[in-house]
Amino acid sequence: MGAISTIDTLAHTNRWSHHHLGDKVAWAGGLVVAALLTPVWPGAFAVTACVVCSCALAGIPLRVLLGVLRIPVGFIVAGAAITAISVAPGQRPPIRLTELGAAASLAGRGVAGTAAAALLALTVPVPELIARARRAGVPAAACELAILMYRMIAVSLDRLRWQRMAQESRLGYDGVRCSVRSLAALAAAAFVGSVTHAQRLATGLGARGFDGTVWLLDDGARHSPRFLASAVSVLALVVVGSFLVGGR
Amino acid sequence: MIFAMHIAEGFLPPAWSLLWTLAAAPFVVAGFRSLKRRVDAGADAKLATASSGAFCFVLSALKIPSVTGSCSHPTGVGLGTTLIGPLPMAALGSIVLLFQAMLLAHGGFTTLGANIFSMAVVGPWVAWWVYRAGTSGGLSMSMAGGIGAGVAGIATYCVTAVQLALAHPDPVSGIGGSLVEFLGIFALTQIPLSVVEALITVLALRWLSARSSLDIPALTGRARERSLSAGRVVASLIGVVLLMTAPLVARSGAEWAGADSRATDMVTTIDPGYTPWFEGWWTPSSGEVESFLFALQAAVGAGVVGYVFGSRRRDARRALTDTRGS
Amino acid sequence: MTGSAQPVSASGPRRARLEAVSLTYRYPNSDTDALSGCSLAVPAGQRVALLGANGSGKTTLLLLLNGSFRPAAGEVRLDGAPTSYDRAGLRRWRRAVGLVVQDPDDMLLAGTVRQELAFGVLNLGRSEDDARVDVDRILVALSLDHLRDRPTHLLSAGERHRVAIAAMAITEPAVLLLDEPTAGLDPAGVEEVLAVLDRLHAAGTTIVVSTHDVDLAHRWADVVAVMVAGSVAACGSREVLHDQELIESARLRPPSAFTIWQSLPGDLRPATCPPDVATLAVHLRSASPVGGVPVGEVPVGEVSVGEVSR
Repeated sequence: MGAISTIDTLAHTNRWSHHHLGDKVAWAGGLVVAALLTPVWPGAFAVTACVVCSCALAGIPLRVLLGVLRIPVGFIVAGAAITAISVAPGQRPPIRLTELGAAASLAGRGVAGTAAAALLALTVPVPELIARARRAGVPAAACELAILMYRMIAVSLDRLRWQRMAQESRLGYDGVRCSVRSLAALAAAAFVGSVTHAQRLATGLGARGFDGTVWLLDDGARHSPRFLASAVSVLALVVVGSFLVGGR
Repeated sequence: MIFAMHIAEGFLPPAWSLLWTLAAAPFVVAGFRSLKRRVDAGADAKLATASSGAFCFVLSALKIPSVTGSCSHPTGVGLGTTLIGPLPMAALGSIVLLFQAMLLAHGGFTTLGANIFSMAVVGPWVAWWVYRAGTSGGLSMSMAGGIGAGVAGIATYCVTAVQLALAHPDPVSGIGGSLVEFLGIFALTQIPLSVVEALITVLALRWLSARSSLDIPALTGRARERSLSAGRVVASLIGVVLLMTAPLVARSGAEWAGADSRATDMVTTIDPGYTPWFEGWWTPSSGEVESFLFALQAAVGAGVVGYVFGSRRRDARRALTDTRGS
Repeated sequence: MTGSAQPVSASGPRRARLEAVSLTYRYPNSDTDALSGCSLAVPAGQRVALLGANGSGKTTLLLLLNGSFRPAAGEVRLDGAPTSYDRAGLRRWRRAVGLVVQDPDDMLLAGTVRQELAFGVLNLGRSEDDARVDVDRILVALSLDHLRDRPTHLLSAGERHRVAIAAMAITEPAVLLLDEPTAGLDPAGVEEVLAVLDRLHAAGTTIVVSTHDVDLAHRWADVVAVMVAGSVAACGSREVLHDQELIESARLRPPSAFTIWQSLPGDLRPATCPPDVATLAVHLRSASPVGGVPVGEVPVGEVSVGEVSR
């Protein structure tokens, strides 16, 4: 209990957590870009393969990756299917299948891109991202709000889960009407809880001399030349190879 | 398993990703600017603001029943905007969307701009405008807020459909046809979802307003009720989208040659033997690159226009508070 | 939990005397005083237990002692001088007196444990390098090093309590107030927290712990203050808890060691009541090894009352 999500927990505890954020972003971010820009065959497949291998290397179970991809893939399949269908009142028949190739291509790019984005989410913990963003020049106000939100989300989600379980034990979700009422109560409780949490934090933090400044220390991780070099060379291989094999 | 419509990574071509990011950017910047004044006021205000943002994220993590029987998640935009206001929602909403991408893998990173535009810019403004119209029309806060949430949900899904249709037009019926397809398919899930979210929002607001000890604007730092200039912003947003898409829809299937190529055609018709006396020093290597450059140009323009509007609005509001002597 | 040889602090906190003088406070929307005429002198460098039932005013007193609330009457004195509630005054006050609230989630705000601890140091205006050194030192000293990059929401309840204490202790306050730091913890967790507090005490910090665990106060504290209905009814060494009437009026129960000690026959009873049952058991076994159980073979803590009274 207390975890925000599987992705968040894995991002903090995987085998790559000692790597510098820049290295990880270069690799996973590079894969996202590769998924967008290279020809789908073989680019998308290469990118997906890289993601799977990275998960294995970072100690992320494959079933977690598949679970993470389940929902976006649903969206991608639906969206790609829509582009495969052409609806035009003027033509005969008014609805027909066209551009199956283009739709498959879109689906492939979507899956590869989503997998690469998932790799980024699975290997980069949010506090590290925010601390480095601050260093990179993102305004302090945004970064401070983000890190405070992160902490508060963890507390609120946990409290809400317990409240929901309590509601379920009292048969609060027996049917749509009940559920809507319970959810409204839950939403209201979430608001009240967040307000009171902020007030209690103000007292607790006031005791620590909090004047509003949220410091963001970096974790002192070093760039790994080996990691970066491997990442860059594999990315180059994927991109160049895809263009060579797949044409422009 | 249906969610609010985050566009997945890889689904938008790079040019469109950039365009929507630039379109959303001014609103996000304006949102953070409005928050900065509030959080600079003190540590407590900073904590209260962050807690509002956390609340929005948590709302979108609620599981609600859907028509298909599987679980859905609301956008949380309607309830959040009624409590916080639309401008802060742009800022807090973008952090929420970033967190959704990082913590839940909903939505991609290149599509973050597009998702922010539909869910943190258009959604909140629609919700706010409907809420204000409703309350000035005599509806209770909870009713107006709830209807606002429902309409915002539908508006968000429409904008997402527009974004998808623009990026992936139908080969025969063009963007218009594609828009109809996307709207039609996603309507099956998004419209019931919006209705349920509206109901939940009405009840939740009723719960909250019944607790007289809660002074919501003070707790969330929401600005006191403003004039209906919010409506003007929304109207202009809708106008922009309509302007962009109407010609494409109205004359679908037509050949969209530019004025300059029509001119060269005209020249060739008048004088077949004419040869140009100047050659450009660089030509784009392909039609795609050319389109990309056009899109980039449009995006930069949109960003500049949006920034100008945003800063003028901010200055106007500042002038308003100055004259009030606060 | 084994502590490490690392010192908790580089220089040690300075000594300070904290006093509550006749404090009266009423919560808004309440029709009774939470504290009325409450006085407490916190002796420097001691371990103080603030005992009382729920609603007796323990938390309120702690919040007044660190400046979170202003009393309606009375004052708080630091080193003999009244404290001031302006910004600079509060800053000085809170550097000297730290408060660890009951729920760690109400005072932890950073993404990871290391960031959380660094927060306190950086607030003092020290540099980031100093912060890193201090954070490393306290992580090792309080055996939290294995949690350094863990986000706080993935810690267990006991770990979260220890991180909250470390977060306050890193700034080396002279007095550390803790509101029910052992509530809800399992016995091992309670021992871990007490061990942390003992290390801080050894480094010179005055520790004030509010609790309603009478046995804890009896065995751990140097000074015990009992609160009844908004004021301190008695304050002194652990013998204070041997007063039956006081205990009853405070809605507490007598310490277990005292109950057993009292009911022992004169020849078995040690001269003074030992702090806890385990010590009493050791004494009894060495005094009269009836029943053939040699000293040292029965693990301390597993002796049942039945065996002891044989």
